[in-house]
Amino acid sequence: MSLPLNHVQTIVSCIEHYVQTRPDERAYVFLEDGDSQELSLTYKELQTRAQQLATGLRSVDLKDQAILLLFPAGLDFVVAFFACLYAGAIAVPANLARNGHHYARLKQIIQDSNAKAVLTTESLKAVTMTGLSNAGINLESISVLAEVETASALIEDNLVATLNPNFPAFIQYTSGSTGNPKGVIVTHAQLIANERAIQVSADMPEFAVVGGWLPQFHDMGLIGAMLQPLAMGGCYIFMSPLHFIQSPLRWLRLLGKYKAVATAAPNFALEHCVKAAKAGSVEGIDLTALKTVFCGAEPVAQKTLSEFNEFFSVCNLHPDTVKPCYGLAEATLILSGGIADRAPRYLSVDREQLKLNQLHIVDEYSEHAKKVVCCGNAVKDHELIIVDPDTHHVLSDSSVGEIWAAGPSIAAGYWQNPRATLATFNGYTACGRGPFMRTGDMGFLREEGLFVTGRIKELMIIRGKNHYPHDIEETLINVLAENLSIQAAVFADEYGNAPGVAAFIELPRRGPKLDTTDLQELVGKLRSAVTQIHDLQLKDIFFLSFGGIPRTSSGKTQRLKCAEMYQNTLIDVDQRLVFSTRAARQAPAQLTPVSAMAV
Amino acid sequence: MNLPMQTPVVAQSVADVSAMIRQHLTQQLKGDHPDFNEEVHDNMSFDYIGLDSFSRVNMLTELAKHFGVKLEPTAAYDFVTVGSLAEFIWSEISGTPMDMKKALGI
Repeated sequence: MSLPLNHVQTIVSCIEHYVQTRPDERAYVFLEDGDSQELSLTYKELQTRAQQLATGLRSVDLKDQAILLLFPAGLDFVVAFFACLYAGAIAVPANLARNGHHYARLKQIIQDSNAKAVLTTESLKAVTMTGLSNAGINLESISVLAEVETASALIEDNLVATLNPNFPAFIQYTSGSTGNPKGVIVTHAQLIANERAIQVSADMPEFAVVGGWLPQFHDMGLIGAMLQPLAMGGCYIFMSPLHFIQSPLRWLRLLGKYKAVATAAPNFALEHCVKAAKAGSVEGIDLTALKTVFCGAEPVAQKTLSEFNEFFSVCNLHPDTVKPCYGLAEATLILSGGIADRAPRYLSVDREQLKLNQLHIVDEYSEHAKKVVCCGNAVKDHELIIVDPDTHHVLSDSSVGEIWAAGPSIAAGYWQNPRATLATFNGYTACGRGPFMRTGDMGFLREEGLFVTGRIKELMIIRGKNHYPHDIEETLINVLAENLSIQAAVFADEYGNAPGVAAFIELPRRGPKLDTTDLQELVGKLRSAVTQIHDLQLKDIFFLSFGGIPRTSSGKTQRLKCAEMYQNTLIDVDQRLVFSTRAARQAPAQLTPVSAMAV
Repeated sequence: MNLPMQTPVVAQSVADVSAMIRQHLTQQLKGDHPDFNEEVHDNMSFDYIGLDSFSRVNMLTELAKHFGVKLEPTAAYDFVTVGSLAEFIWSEISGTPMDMKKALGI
C-alpha cells in the first residue's frame, strides 16, 4: 500500500493532501473533561487556523526563529505546533510552568534556543509574561503571543512550497539544566522518516484512529501519538494526562468507544490500569479494534505485560496488542519495536552476571533470574548494532554492549552544542563504520530483536519521564547554598515497591552544628525543592559527614556505588552516616538527638 | 491504596474536610512515601510533603470518592496546601462560594 506518507517530504504536506481528499473529517478530538465533552478540528479547520497563525508569525519576522510553545493539553497546542512548521519557524515544545522554579528552567531553554517568541493561550498570556519577567527574562527581547491576536485573516499563499525538509522542525529539550541544556534538533525529513517507521512497524492503516493521553510536549506524546495519525490521514482522540492519572480506565474506554487501532504509553500506565481494574469494573470496555499499544519511554516489565493482558482479556484485548518498543529523542522517537506475531517475548537472564555485562540465560524460576523483555527489531531503514563502549568493536549477537543506531530519523544533533553533538552523534566503530548515534543504553541483539538491559548514561526514568541526576543534585545544592555548602549524589532505586530516587547529602568539612531537628528541617527544604522543580518525590535522604559520598580517584561521583550501598543497606551502618530518613522511619522511637555535627 | 473509604461521607464543616484530608494523607503517605513521618497540618503544602503530580491526582481521586463530589485533577495544583484544598472541597460539598483570592494566596 502506498501512502502519501511514503513520498511527502514534510508532515505539513500530509495535511495539505488530506485537506484535498477529506477536508471535513476530524483530525483531532480532545475530550475536555476526559470523558465525553468533545472539542474537534477537521483537516480543513486545522489547516486554516495553522496557516493563519503561520502567516501572522511570518509577518512579525519569526520565520527561521525558535518559538517556545507553552500550552495546556488540548487543540491550541496542535494549531500552534503546525503553525510553527508552516511558518518555517522552529517549534520548541515545553511543559507549562507552575512556579518560579519552572520559569527559571524555561529561561534556560529560551536562552539556549535563542527563542524570539513564546506562543501560549490568551488566558495564560498575562501570567506567562509575569512568570518570565520574574525569572529575569527581558520582555523587550521576546514576544509573548496568543493565536487570537497573532493570526492573520489573509493566508500567505506559498507557505508549504518554501519549506526546506532539511530545516529544523522542532527542538526537543531533553535536559534543561543550567550548565548543559541539550535540545535535540529534529528536521522535517527526520520527523517524517520516523513517522514512516512507526507506520510500518505496526502496519498501521491509512485513516487510522489513534487514542491517548500522553503529554503533547513529550517526544512519545508528540511524535508517537499526536502526529502519527495525522501523517496517515487519521484522527487522534485524546485527553489530558491528569484526566488519565485521575482515572486510568478512561483511556481504555476512549480506545474502545472510538474504535482506536493504536495507542502509546509507558509501562507505568499499564500498571496504573491494572490497579484500577482490580479496584473497579472494566464493564463496557471493548478493545476488539485495538491492534497496537506501543509500550516504551521506560523499561518494559514482563510482569506488567502479563498482568495487563490477563486483566483486559475480558475486554477482548488480544495478547499481541502490547508491543514493547525502544527509542529516544535523539532518534526522533522509535528505533525498534512493533509487530509481534505472538505474545511478547522475554528472556530470563542472570541478574548478577548482567551487572557485569555478561549474558547468561537461566531458568525463569532461578534465584537470580531477571526477565528482560524484547523490544523488537530495528524499524524499517534503521540499523542497530551492539558495540563495546570502550574499544568500539562491534559485538556479536547475544553479547551485551552499548546500543548504537543509524538511519534517516537519527536527529541532526544538539542545538548549538557541538561538543555534545560530537560525543553522541558521531560514533564510529573500530573498523571505521559510521556515523552512528550512541544511545548510552546497554543491551544485546538476538534473532527476535533488541533487548535493553541497562544504561551507561546517567539518566533515571521515573514513570516515563527522564531525570538527570546532575540536575537534581544542582537543585539540592542550590536550595541550601545560602546557609550550607553541601555536595549531593542522586541515584535511582529500582528495587522496592516503586522505582524512585534517593539522595546522599555530604555535609561540609567545617560546618555549623546540626541536630536532628535541624536536619529534619533540611530534609523538608530539600524534598520540597525537588518536588517543585522536578515533580518528583525523593524516596530517602541520607546526610553523610565530609567525604561520605563515594567517588573515583579523579573525584567523579560514583552514583552506581551509592545505589548499591542504599540497596544493600551498607550505608545505614556507615560510620559517616549522620542522619537518614530511612533510619528515622524504621526506628522512630530511637530517634534521640544525635550529635550530628559535621566533622 | 486500599482505604476503607468507598461510601461517600457527609462532612459538616471545613474542619471536618480538613481532618479527613489529613487522615487520608497520613494513610497514603504511610504506603507510598514512608520517609515522610511528620504530622500533617493545614498550612503544610503538598510541595513540602513532596507529593508529585501522580500522587497528588491520586489523592484527589480518593478524596472525590470519599466525599462523593467531582473534583477536576487540576485542583491538585490550584490549591497548594491542605487547608486551601479543604476550603475548596468544602465549597464544592456545601455549594458555598469560597474566597478564591484567599485560597490561591493572591
